[in-house]
Amino acid sequence: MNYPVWNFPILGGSLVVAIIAIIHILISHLAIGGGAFLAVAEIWSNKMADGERIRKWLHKFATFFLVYTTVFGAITGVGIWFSIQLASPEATSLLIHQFVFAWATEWVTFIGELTVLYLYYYGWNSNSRRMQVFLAVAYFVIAWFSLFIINGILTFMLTPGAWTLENKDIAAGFFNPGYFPSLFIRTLTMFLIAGLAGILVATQIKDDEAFKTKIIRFSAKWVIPAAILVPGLVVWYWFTLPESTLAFYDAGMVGVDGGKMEGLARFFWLAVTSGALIVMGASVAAWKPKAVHLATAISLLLVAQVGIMGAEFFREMARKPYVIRGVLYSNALWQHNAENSAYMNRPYLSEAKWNPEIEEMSAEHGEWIYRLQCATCHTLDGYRDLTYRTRNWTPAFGVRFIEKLDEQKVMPPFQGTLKDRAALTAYFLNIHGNPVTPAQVLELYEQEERAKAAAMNANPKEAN
Amino acid sequence: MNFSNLISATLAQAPIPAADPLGYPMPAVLLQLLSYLTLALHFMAVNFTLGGLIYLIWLKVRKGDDGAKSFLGLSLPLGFSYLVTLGIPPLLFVQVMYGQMFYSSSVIIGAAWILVVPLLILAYGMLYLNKLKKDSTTNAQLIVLGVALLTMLSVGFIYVNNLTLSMTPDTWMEKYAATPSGANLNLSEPTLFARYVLFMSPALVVGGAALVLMGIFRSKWRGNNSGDAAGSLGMRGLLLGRVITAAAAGALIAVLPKNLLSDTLVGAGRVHLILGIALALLSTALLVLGAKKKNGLLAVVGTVLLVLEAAMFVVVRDMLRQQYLAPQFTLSDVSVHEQWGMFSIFAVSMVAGLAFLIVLTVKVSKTAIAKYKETHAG
Repeated sequence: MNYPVWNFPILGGSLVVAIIAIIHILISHLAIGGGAFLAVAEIWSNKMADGERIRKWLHKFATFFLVYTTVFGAITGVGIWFSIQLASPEATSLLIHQFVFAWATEWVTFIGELTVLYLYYYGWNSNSRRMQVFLAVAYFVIAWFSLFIINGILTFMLTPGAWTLENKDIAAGFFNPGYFPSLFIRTLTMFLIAGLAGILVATQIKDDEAFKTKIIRFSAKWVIPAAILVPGLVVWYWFTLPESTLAFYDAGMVGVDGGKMEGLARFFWLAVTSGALIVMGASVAAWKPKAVHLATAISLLLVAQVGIMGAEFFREMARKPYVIRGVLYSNALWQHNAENSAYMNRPYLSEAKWNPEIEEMSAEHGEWIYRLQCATCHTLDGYRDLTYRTRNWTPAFGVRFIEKLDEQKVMPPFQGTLKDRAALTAYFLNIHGNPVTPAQVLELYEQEERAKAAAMNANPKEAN
Repeated sequence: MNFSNLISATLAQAPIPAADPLGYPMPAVLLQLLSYLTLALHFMAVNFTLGGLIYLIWLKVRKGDDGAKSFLGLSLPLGFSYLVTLGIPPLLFVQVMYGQMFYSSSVIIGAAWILVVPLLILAYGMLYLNKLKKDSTTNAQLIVLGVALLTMLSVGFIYVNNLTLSMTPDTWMEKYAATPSGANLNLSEPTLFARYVLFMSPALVVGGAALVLMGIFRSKWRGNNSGDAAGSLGMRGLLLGRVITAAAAGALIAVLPKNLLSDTLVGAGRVHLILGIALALLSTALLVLGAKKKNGLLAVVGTVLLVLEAAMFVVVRDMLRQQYLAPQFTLSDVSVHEQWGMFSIFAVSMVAGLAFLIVLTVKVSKTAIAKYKETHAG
C-alpha cells in the first residue's frame, strides 16, 4: 500500500468520483455538441429570411451555453481530477505518468475552446457574420479534439489492449480496442444533448409560437443521428469488452440480500431505456412543439442525466475488480504483486507504509486493514457498506470468506495472513456489538477447521 | 476510538510512497521549466481575478468609477476561467514530479481538498451572476461579490495548506491516523499564514496593474480623462499590495527554518530571488510612471515584467520545496523514461494553437476596438 486511503464517510471516495463525473459528462458533452449546434445554427440563420431573429435566439442559447459549460463543466472537469487523486492516487499517478503529454495537449484544446468561445460570444456585436461562423466551427473542432484525447485515457482503463507495464506502448494503450466505438458513441450523444439543450432554451420563446415551433423542430433533429447509429455502435463496443465483463453480464452477481443483482445489466438497461425515452420525447417535441414547456425540456435533460449515470456505472462496474484492467486492482494492488504468493501472504500491516506501528492482533489491527485494504471501495455505513454486508458473519465464516474474497471476480484477492483475516473479522464482529478479540476469532476458526478435519477423517464421504 | 497510543507512535521514517514505476516522461529539469512557466501564468490569472474582485467591491462600496466597475464586472468571469484553465498544467506537472508527496497530502486533507470543487463553482457562478444581473441593488451585488471573495480566499487557503503539508512528510502519519476522513488542515505549520498572505497579496498588485492599463487605454480611446480615476486607484492599490507582500515576505523569512532558508538562497536560488526583487521594483516603477504619465507602453512593459517576476519567485518557491524534501526525496531519485514523441505532439499543438489564438484574438480585438472608438468618440 503506497498511498493513504481516503476514508470519506457515507459516500466513500468512489461515489464522490461518480457524482462529480456523472454531472460533468452531461455538461462536457453539451460543451462539445453545443459547439456543432452553434456552428450549424449560424450557417442555417444565414440562409433563412428570419436569420436575424434566429441569431437573437441563438444569443440566448450561447449565454446559457457559456455560463453552464464554463462554470459547471470546466470546474466539474477539474473536480473529477481532484476526486480521482483522492480515491485512487496510485491509478491516477500511473495515468498521469503515462499520458502526461496527452493531458497537456488536451489542455491546449481547453485554452483554445475557451478563447474562441469568448471571441465568439463577446464579439457578437462587432464580428462580421463570416467571422462568427468561422469561430463557431473552430470552437467545435477544437472542443471535439479534447474528446479525441480524453477518450483514449478513459477507454484505456477498461480495455488497455496491447499496453503493458513493461512495454509502456502509448499508442497501443491510447488507441485501444474500445477507443473508436466509444469515440463515435460519445460524439453522437453530444449532438443529442445539444439538441435537448436547444429545446430547453426554445421553451423560453414566449411571444411567437411559429418561431418556437421552428426552433424546437430544428433542435429535435439533433437527436436523430444518435437514435439511428448508437444502437449499432453499442454492439461494436460490446464486442470490445473483456470476456470476464461479458460473463458478469450474463451471470449477474450475488446481491447484498442474496439472489441475483445483475448490476451490470441493470446499469446497461438504464442507459438503453433512457436513450429510448429521449428519442420518444424528442419525437413528441418535434410533432407537437407547442406542448413543450420548460419542465418538459428539463425532464428530457434529466433523463439524459440518468442515462449517463447508467452508462458510467456500467463502465465502472465493467472494470471490476480493477481500476486499470489487468494492471491495477481497485484497492491499489498491482496485478504482478497479486500473482506473487510470497507478497500476498506476508503480514499485511508490517509491510504497509501507512501503518502507525499497530500491534499485531490488537483491537486496532483489523480496523487498519479495513482502512488500508477495503475503504477504497467500501464505507462502513454508507455506499457499499460493510456493516450491512457482514451482518450475518460468524468468526469462522468471516475468516474463510476473506480468504476467498476474489472468487466472485468482483473483488481483489485479500493480502495478508490468517491473523490478518482474523483481525479484520473481529473488527466487523465488534461493529455488530459482538465483543470478540482477533485471538478469539482465530481460535474459533481453528476449532471449526479442526472439527471439519476430524469429521472428514471419520466419514470422508459425508464431509465432502 | 482512542488514538492516543497511535498518535504517540513516532515512525522512524515518514511514509513517503514509492515513485511511480513509469518514472518521469522527460528529464526533470524540462518538467520544472514547463511547471514554472505555466504556474507563473496561473498566478497572474489568480491575482488578476482576486485583485479585480477586491477593487470591484471597493468601487461598489465607495460608489466609485462606473467605467472601472463595468470593466471589472465584464472581465472577472473571463479571468476566473483562465485562472482555472491555467491552473491545470502546473497541477499536472506537480503530480508528475512530486506526485508521491502531493497525493499523500491531498488525501490527508481530503475533505477540505474536495471542497475546492464546490467553492470554485460558487465563486465562478457569483461572478457571472454579478455580470448578468446588472440591475440588482448595490447591497445584493455586494453580497454576491462578497461570497465570491470569501470562497476565492478559502480556496487559496486550502491550496496553501495542501502544498505546505506536501513538503512536510514527518507530520503526515499523525494527521492521517487521527482523521482518516481528511477533515484536516495544516494549521500547525509555522509558515502557513505568512505564505498565505504572500501568495494572496500580489492580487492587489496585478489587479492594480490591470486598472492602470484600463485607465490609460480608456482615456486614450475615448480621447478624454475618463480613465484617470481607475488608473489612480490601481496605482495606489498596487503600491499597497507591494507593501503587504514585502511584509509577508519578511514574516516568512522570520519563521522559515534557518537552515532551509540558507540552503535555498545560494547559487541559482539567490540569483532568482535577486532578479525577482529587481523585477518587482522595476515593474512597480514602470507602472507608477505609466499611470502618472498616461503612457500605455510603460504600463504594458511593467505588466509583462510582473509575469517574469512571478516566474522568478516560482523558481525560488520550488527550490525551497526541494530543500524541505531533501532529507527524503530528490528529483534525481526518479528514473526517466522519455516520451519525446508525445512531447513533440504537445509542443507542436501548443505552438500552433497559441499562434492561431493570437492571430484570431488580434483580428477580433481590432474590430472590437474600432467599434468601441466609433461608439465612444468624443
